[in-house]
Amino acid sequence: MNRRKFLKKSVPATVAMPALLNGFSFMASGQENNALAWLMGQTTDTDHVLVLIQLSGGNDGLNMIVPLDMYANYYNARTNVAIPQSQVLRLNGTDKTGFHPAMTALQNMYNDGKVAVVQSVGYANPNFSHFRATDIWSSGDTREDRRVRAKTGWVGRYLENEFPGYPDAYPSTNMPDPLSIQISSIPTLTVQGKVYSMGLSVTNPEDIYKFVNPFSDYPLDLPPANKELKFLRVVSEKTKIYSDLIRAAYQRASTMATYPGNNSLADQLKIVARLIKGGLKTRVYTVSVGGFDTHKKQVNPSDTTTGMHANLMKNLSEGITAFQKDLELMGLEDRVLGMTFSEFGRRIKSNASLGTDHGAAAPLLMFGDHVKKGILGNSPDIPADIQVVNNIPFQYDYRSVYASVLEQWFCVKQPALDQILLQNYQSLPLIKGGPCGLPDTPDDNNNAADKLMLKMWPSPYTVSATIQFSTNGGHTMIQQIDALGRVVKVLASAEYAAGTYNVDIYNDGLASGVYFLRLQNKALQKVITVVKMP
Amino acid sequence: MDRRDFIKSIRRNIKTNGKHKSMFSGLAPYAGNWTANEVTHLLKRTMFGAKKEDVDYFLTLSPDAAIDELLNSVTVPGPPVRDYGLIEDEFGVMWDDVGVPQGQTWVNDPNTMGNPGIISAINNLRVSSLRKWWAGLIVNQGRSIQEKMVLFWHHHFSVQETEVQNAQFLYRHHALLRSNALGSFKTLLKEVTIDPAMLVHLNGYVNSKQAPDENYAREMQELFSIGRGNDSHYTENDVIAAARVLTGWRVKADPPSSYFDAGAHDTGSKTFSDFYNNTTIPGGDGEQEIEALVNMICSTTEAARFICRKLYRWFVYYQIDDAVEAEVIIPMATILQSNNFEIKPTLSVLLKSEHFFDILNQACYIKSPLDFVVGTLREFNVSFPAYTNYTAGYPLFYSLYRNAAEMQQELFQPPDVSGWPSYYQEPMFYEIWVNSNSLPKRADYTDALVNGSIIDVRAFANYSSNPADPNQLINDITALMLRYPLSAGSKTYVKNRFLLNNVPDDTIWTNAWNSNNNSVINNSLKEMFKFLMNLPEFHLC
Repeated sequence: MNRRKFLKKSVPATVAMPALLNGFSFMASGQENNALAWLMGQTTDTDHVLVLIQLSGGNDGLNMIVPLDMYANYYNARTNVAIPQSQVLRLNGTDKTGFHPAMTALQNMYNDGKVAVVQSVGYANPNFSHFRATDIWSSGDTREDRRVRAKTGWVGRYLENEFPGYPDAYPSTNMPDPLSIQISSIPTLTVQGKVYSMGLSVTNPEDIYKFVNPFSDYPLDLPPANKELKFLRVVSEKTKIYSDLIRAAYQRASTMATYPGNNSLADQLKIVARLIKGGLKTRVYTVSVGGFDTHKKQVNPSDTTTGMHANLMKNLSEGITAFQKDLELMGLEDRVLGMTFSEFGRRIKSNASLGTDHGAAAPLLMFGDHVKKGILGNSPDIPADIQVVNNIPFQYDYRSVYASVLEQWFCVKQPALDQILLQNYQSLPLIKGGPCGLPDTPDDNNNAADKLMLKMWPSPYTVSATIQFSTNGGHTMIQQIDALGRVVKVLASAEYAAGTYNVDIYNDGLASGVYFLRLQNKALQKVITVVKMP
Repeated sequence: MDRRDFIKSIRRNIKTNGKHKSMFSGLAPYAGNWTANEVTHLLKRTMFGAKKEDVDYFLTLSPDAAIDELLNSVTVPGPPVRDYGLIEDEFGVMWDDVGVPQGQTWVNDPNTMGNPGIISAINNLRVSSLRKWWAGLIVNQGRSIQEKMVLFWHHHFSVQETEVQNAQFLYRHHALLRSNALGSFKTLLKEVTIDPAMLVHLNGYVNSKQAPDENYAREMQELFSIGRGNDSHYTENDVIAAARVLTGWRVKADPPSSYFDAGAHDTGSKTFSDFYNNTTIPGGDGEQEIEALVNMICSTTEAARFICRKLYRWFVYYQIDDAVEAEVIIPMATILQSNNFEIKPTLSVLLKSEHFFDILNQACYIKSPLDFVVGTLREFNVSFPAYTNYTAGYPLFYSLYRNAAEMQQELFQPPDVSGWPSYYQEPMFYEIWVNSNSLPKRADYTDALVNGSIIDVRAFANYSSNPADPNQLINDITALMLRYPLSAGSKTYVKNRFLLNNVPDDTIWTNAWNSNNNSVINNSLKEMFKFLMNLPEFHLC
């Protein structure tokens, strides 16, 4: 959507753009005048909005997206919490996977083509600490050494790249509104920039602090005004300006759909919809819900389709669908993309307290008019001989999802894309309709991975084995991943011509046990289980 | 032009005019005025807020005597106590923290009874009581630098509750910082190295000769003693050698303590780089080796300077330019070294110096959340129950802890192993405290203090020599509240808007005050105080 359309669809702002502070520009960090960068056209002209839904605590992906094609192994691994096969909600166009029975609302939305599932999103060497894993998802950096790892968030880097010089040179005609808004009182690393947070936190826009005009007229250009006083004055002014903008936008719009009660996600998304409708050009909203750390009593013993996790799934499903409905009634549905994430999934094997412990990769949901509907990737390969340590290895690196969203939804181009994500990640077909003018790859998410071949014989193996794989050409990689999700070998990583290839392994020095082989060829992957015998 | 540059340029001119005034103040003893302005500066930096009665008290002493009293008034508080009741598990069964009656301390009880869920629930309650206790000590502080020094060491060693997850260890760690807060840094560094909380926090407890873990050995040098300044030249091999010295230390829950497991210790000799004079620490007793390691580290000039820079940023200002380095840090480090790393005599010289009271170093410090939360309450003379009062006091102390945490300064949970970035992160330093997230929280907080009548604005107005005169009232209270003078224009604006209802006639206020018109007086004062506490100037100290 272009700018004209944007202005037509949102309620006109009755509040004039606040003038810049007497032309007073403040450079806290002595950085160069980055405002020049956007004058030169660096900022992308887009009215797209991304809504990130954080599921805090580690969501049990296996019970959210149930692998029907692995059902026997799934059931065997977690009999006391497994969803009965007959009650899994079926989805149009696939018989491999289904939704948790509490997600009927989202099932309908899926069948309407407005939901996508990305299977087994994660990263190599998963971290099982809530704090660290949350930082990893927020920063987009898995490096352990705190000296080198990013202290910024992936969205923060994106916004900093789009709007250089924030906050000194903002609000501006180019970006008159907050860059991102968190519906929360705690700042998140996701939107942290090099120095400043690129986000504003709001819990209740109606209640947002009403600063009276910060009146402090000590002449700043004369001693003894000091650097800190100037800084405080600028921050006070900006905070007042942005608070007033948010409050005004909220009051300009009203909710059009009916949201479920007692649902904190719905409460937060309701605010987001109003702020978008109120005319804010804010690019990213973050909301979060907790309670996903279901170590015990995840399900009711009498009926595993009910209980704590079922309530979470119901709230998620109904919150998202009410939000989508609201956006449609407001005429904003083609501007908004939503995405869930959680710091990790849960262990394949359940524990004895009717719960599941911290795990690794998990599916994430995307929704909106522009998502490429369907299930991207295969069901996770669940070993028949399940052990407590077995975890779901990742099929898609979480930064591939971020990269694809930035590339296909926010139209970020190279080399900025690699700079934001700190390295190159594969592009996944997530967005349809080509809003960024990219070729619209065919709608082949379902079963796409079946187009690659990956096998190994003998399996189980002892000393030597042969791996055979096919590639459609281009960069192709095979990783061997242990039960804890650690990449223990990279067996191939090169540019290949399309065709079928063999890789032999001999005396690989690995301990006996269950491993996964992960084949990645551009947007396609395939993961198989292999076993090494003593 | 910036104030610093301006004043420096004036001094430069004075010097070129032939007068022997130093361009930059150094550590020479302060011999200037001793008025409410200087006392307030001293108290705001060494305590949490400057109460009027404390300012008046210290005005009766000489500067030297005032600083001696702040440095020497040290008390040893009793430990935190149980303030919680029974704990309900997921099946509705009630559990007790057996062996720790209400009002008794838990710090020596290992918390090993009960199932894992209950142990963790009890631990969380104990951590919470520890936080309340400390917040209670801070808000009830005497005329002493003690609480600010303990917080400094917490920032320095930066142990995090989420890593340690053991209230008994955390208390022990805290008590260690407290008892050595103004003592020998060498003793403190050595004790912290084998402190159970630190052993858990930085993996020392899994450091063994078979698999050395370098985490603590690295941070010990990079964050705790040598730093990463231009003259820091320890090597990667020094990290490895230090890790070998530190092998074998283990922790146990009952009693909460650490011990040395000789079997896990690397008994080989450890050789260090020329930065450490090629020192060799022979293999032997674990504790002696650590003592040798600490002595070796503290024999470097860089260690002394590093500690002095950190103290400087905590008490004076964040910017350390060449002049500060040459005229303050280097001589201060010499004092630290010649006093065998005793903190008190070193800090005494800094606080008594002309540099500390230099006009350049006044009103340039952005209040930390604890300065803001606790300092405001103390300056408005809000009285609190004693820190020992777990029934009436702890719930209030919790709210102090919580408010500061909301503003990004959480006791026992600094953001990472390097402490609060406001004291080390270039280029913003103190400015990191204030942003569009934290500013509304600060405003909400001061509004709540006024709206809830937690602070008595009428009593504060009575500090004025003549509160019936609106001009005098505003002059007096802004002088007490703000480290920056308001301009005449601002004062008139405040007077007209809040005291005169926009009618420019001073007698409106005088008549209201003299006739004791409570509703007019209180409402006007409340709105005015909320406004003044939202001013950018209010965040400076």
